[in-house]
Amino acid sequence: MPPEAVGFRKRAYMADTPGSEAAFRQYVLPEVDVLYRVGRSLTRNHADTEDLVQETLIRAYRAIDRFDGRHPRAWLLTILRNAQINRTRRRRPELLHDPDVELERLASTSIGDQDDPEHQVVDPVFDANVQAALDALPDRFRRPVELVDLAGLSYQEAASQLDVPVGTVMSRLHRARKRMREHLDRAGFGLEELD
Amino acid sequence: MRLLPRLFRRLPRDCARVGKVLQQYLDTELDAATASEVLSHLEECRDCGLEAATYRRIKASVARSGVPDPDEVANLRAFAEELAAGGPSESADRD
Repeated sequence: MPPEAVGFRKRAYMADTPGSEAAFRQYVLPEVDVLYRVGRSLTRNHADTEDLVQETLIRAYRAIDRFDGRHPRAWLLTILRNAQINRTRRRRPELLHDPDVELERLASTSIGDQDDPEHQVVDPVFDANVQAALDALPDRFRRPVELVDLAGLSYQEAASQLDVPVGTVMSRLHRARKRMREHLDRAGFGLEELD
Repeated sequence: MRLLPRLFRRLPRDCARVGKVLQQYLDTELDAATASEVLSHLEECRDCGLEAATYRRIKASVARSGVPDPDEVANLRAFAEELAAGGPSESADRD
């Protein structure tokens, strides 16, 4: 739990204007799922994700009166990113990628709740190899893949989140996926096996 | 009737052109006209079709890995609802 969220009391975060609740409901509540997905790509474990998203929601609530209503997702993702930067500064970096936590995350991944038919054909061995290929990428390549494929962000949204140009997101995505594919090829998941 | 020229046919150079925009196509970042031409090429060209299927399967796998636990998202939604209603109650305090 982030320090800001510990020990809070009823209405401690109440915004000032009458429209605050409506604005929060309109702009923030629909984005909780995306915040969770992006948060998880940043923290890589459930508990930290929950803390990070809660902290983001509190910060958004405090700032909702100053939000102009344009691009709420980008606004929220900026808040989330800043919250994560602060969290990282408070923690030892090596704790963010504890391999045991990562294995637990992999083992407990929930699947099968997607509308897309492609998601219904699940091969745990393939998925484990994809995860290994993703984990093997340097952060600068892994993050665009997670933001676009895992969190469902557009290139522009991912670029804002990463604070790089859209072209950089595109080139890193391309290189990251090529590396992942090569990893899968070496693991025996070549083109013919996927046909 | 096709109003648009066939940008990507089954020629080696067309495969190369499709290859350059394939990732954008899979990420639905192309305009509709270009995406339609890419799709036509992928349906006609086995190699490019396989290439696309490979990357599509990898994308789907990554997406699966991020499917949130419904309970966790529900908890966060409840937290957000409490904020929207004027702030979390004391019972929501946690260590």
